[in-house]
Amino acid sequence: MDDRAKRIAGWVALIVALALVPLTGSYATSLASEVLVFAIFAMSLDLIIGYTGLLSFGHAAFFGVSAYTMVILGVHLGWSGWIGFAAGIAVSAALAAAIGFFSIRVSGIPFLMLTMAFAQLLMSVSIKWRSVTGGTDGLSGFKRPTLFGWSLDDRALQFYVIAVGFLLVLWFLRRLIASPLGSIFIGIRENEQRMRAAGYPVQRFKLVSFTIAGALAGVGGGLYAMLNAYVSSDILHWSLSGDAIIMVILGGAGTVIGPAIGAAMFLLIKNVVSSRTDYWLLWVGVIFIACVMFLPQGVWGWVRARLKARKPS
Amino acid sequence: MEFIATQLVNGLAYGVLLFLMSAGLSLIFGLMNVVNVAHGSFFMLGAFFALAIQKWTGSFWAALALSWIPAVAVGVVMERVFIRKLYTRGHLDQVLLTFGFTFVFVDLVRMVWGADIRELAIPDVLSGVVEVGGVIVPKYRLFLIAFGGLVGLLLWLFLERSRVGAMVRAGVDDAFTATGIGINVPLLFASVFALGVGLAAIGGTVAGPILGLYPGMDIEILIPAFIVVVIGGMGSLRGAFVASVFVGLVDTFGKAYFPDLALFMIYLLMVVVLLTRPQGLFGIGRA
Repeated sequence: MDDRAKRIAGWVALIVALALVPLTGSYATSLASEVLVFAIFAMSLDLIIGYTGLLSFGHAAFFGVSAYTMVILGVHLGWSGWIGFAAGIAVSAALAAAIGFFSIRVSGIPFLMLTMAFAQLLMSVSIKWRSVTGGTDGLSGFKRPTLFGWSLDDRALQFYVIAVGFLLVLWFLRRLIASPLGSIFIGIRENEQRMRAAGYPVQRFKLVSFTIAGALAGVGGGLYAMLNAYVSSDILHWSLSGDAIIMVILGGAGTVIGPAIGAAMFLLIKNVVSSRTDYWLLWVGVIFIACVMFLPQGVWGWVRARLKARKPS
Repeated sequence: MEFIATQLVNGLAYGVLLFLMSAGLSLIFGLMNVVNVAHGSFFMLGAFFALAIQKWTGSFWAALALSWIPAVAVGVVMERVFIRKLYTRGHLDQVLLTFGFTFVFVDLVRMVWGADIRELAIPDVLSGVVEVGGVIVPKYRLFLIAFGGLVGLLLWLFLERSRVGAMVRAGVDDAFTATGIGINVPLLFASVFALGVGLAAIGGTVAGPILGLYPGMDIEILIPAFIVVVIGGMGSLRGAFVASVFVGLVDTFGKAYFPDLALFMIYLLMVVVLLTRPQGLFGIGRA
């Protein structure tokens, strides 16, 4: 089988697998929807961490602001969720461009702290601006949109919409990474100075990467709002940004699908372990530490390296 | 006037706690280039060890004198077994590793001590209030300010006046050359890490009576401490000191005068400092 046939076979297998998920029952379908939403979120973060080499600790800002935009427009103005979805992504992208503009001036720990600070500032706004955001109680009463006359209140339909979003983001990211722009991002990660010497406006490309990642996180956030029909300031909290980092690292930073696998692992650990013990974060911590120590390329990175090693070149 | 004086005392006391945290964070970063996100965990561990020791001996002073020892033991094991393996990798891997440890420590504390808020009892000598120049202030906060000043002074003397301190400074400036002139840098690393962890644990202990003890207190202090280090400049003890006092005061006065903006103030402060001076106020400009 040549590469093209393999790739098509991979897509077909993935689509068939996703199509069958709603047959597994409503609990599993809800869980799968959640996994895919956070998979999109983690994959978008990986564009910054894994492909551009910047550790952002404030990615929840873009996920959250998109969800807030959609729910606020729906609840207060009665706008359809689809228009809200588009608006949410646009707001996320604009916000990412603005936050990125300031944050990329520094790197390393100051970058981490700045991105976190911006996200926290946004969270303070969401807590204080009660009349619009509902404050700490959150904002409920969002009416899910309909699709060809069917309401998205249906679990299976919700899942399919989210799955389509996931597939589109996955496809987009694969194309992006394979494109010349993707090569520039990787070049910045590998050796920023060399890229600068080669004449690339590195700062501008970092901003592009940050903005795209923010917009894609907005896609995840919108689908999150579609799934839960509710939003609260928790989704702007730094700990959600931390969760996304864990997903990226577990699955494999610098791989496209890795963070999605990391998201699945994280949420499975959370759901399975937390039903048995209160101390599920302990296990997340232990697994994460083991991963950083012994499997720095992540689960998928490791699998991919094994596959490549097997293939005679 | 009295209100301002009270806030001043509170702000300085909070600044002392921030200094005990950020001094270690900053030194560890300056010398070892290690960003220890689990530093807040040692603050929390110190506090809970103090709680256990106080329960056992009935004395706050015994708790203060001893609580850092088990915390340092945990820290040294962490440095030897885990962080050391990552010296050759980048900052970000250390951030990730120590980030993983924060989950482990917080759940271990929850397992052993539960999730309720506990309190460390103040010794009789320090309970109650005292009148200073017509202003009534809690004795314990005054003790805390004096204690912080003393620790700061001792640290400064140690770094600037002692032989080991000179080695630490040499290591901060250039670890490679320091190795070349015969300084045992790995040992120095372990010692400074232990010192930083010990300071954090002592910070947690003296914080116990005013902030309370609970799983999650680690992050509660870690974020402002990181802000202090970033504002002060990573690797600079003087920066950590000045920024601790500054952030402590801004936070306290901010909460008193603009309660709606309380969450904003110190983040905003950091954003402004980082955008105008990315290396921090006293930074050495290589972070």
